[in-house]
Amino acid sequence: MKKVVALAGNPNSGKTTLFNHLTGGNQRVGNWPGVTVDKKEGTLKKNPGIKIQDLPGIYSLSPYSPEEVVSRNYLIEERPDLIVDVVDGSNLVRNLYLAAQLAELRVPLVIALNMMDVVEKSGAAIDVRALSERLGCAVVPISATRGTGIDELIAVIQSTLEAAPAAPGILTFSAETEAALAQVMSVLTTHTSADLLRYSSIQALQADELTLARLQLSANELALIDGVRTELEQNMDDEIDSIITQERYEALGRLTDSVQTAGPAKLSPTDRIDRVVTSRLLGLPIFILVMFLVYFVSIQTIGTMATDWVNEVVFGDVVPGAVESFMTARDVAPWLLGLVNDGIVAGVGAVLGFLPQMFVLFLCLAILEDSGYMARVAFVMDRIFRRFGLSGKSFIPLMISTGCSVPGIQASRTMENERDRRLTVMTASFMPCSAKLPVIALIAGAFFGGSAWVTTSFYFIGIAAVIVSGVILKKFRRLAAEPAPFVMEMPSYHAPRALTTLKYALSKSWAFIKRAGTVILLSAIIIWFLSNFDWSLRMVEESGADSILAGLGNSLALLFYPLGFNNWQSIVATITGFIAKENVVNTLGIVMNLGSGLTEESPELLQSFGALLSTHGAYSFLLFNMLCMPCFAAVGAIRTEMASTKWTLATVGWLMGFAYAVSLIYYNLAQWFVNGIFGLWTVVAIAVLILLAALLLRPNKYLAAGYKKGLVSA
Amino acid sequence: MPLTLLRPGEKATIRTIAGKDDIGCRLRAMGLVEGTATELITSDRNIMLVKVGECRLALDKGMASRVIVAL
Repeated sequence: MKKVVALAGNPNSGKTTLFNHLTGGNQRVGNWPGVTVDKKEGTLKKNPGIKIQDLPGIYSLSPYSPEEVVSRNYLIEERPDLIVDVVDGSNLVRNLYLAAQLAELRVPLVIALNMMDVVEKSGAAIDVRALSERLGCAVVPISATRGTGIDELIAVIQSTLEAAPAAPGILTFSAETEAALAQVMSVLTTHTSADLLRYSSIQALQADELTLARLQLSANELALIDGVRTELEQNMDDEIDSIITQERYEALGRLTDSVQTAGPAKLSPTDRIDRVVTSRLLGLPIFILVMFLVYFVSIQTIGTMATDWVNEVVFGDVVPGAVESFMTARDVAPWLLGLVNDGIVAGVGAVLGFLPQMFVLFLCLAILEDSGYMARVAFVMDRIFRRFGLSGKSFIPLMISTGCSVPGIQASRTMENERDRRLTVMTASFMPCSAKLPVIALIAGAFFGGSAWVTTSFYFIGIAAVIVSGVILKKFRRLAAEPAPFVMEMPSYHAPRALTTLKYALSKSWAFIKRAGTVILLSAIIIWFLSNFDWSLRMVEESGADSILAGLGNSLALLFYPLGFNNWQSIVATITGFIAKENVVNTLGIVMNLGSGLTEESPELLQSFGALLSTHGAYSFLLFNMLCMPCFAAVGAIRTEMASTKWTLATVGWLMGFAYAVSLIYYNLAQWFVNGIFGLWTVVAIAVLILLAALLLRPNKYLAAGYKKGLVSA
Repeated sequence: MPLTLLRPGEKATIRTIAGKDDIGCRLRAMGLVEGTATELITSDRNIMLVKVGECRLALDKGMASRVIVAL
């Protein structure tokens, strides 16, 4: 049978990096919430008989966050053969707190003492042998970032599994607490296995609800334990959680004092940087500057230059030219050339051309994350978000969503408050992801002279939509809650590692390419077919107005009439955008029959699109496409995060309704103010605006009524 | 005095954490326990960045006000 090794450790202890070393797998390291909340598994390098189960980063085994609950349940129920606890050597006491709790589970334990390079650099020292003796388990010094000590760790894991060793030593509490614990243990002996007796007793003494429920005690036994607890609390003049935690830290303090020598005290570079970067005065301006640089590099300059080159040269001339000469030389049917060049090359090319820009954007986001700055964004933005009842932590998912909503939605995972988390999942896709940028560029080019303001406006519209939705949705019972109290560890700054950031950007780009090769390729073929054939499957004339696709689009014209874009081309583009937002530009290219090599900047596309819509209709089209339901992949991510079809439908419903309302209001009011057109729909638009304002301003009756606590208790 | 009263750059030692609920437990689990050295790095309207032992924590002032420190 396969042996199972569970990998545990604090967040930011370098666990993910170690996991990659142990498994040789291709995952990534990060500071933002949610990176390792999945149950990631692998097998030990060169030894497939040993399974490595990665656990989420946790501070303790107390059930305060979903990660802690997941880890605790796994360790108690699955009982792995060995736990490897990754301990940050530069922060020994705090990290050993978890180790002490893990030891209580009576599973063999090996400590991977990480960040030894940092410890040595700071002039401190840890006596590894003494630490191992005091803890009663093997301790292996490593540096996950440098990759040192990994082979030794693997050897210790293998030999420990073979030797079937005793469980590690446990920390003892004060005499009074131990006496109380002994009383609880005598009550619980018949309720739990000998291995878990001490652990369960400590939990029961702390009145941990999950443990008490699992033990199935009688009312009598519960009363007995309550009595022991009350007596201890009175004797110690403190409450139980504080007693237990305090005594654990004291014991750990004595333990570590005897094994480590501190380096010379000095103000670390991280603290000096934080004084400036998180300061009240400069925090926000620095954040805006950083974001400006990111988008300047990826969207205004380097990324776009590369994208233009790919679009104009590769998919503009080289590929279509080669395809055409290849096919003409072999005398293939004209419809096949049409399918390949106007369908596949035009459709997939329009998407792939976007790759360099996306790669640069993801590289920038990875650098922000790896350097430690991303966590500070949550800190800086909390000031603004909290005023609207939102947590600053939800800003990290929003920032990631500017690259792609899928990882953005996933990044909401470690927000402690379930309602904050749901709200972030529901609104993250309002941010203009990289696939929406060509759509914006197309409209900006065709109607607004390519103004950069149109692009910029959508970042602000995205944030505004998040805030407005947040305020409105928080007034519904199922989402009403004060944002969770903010606690977040800020990792030390370090220079971004080239390999980590490149790997991240490459893996995201690869996912993008895969999508272009599958979903988008298929959509391109289907769209080409639907737009080139009529219902009796005859090929239609150039304009495509008799095509199946035009028929489908026209059947929905009434629905989009109040939004100002009721021609079939833009409706069909919007609908194919639900599959993937890249499809919007690609569909327009195909249905307007403009041939291959089309980009959002091609003058033909700009011209023919300009003829279809009014300026306000175009901006309304853009508003709807930016705010409405995201692509299928993102809806899938929403489904996974919500773990509920009902919530997923509610999310899609909200996004669609919100997008429709905003477009409706914008288009009809613009028509009224600018063009003086006042009609039935103007009245409807005003009514919807008033309704939104009322939802926004109505008092939140649930917060007053004591719904303040939203901490999860799974 | 509560942690919220520290000025940036001031160092103090944690005395106790008030409160019995989950939040108190969570703070303690993250290393905010009696005897730990803390230092205020920056403080904003409703959130502050403090150094606790060897790590940095961002916490809102509601929570920070329950951490009692001595200079």
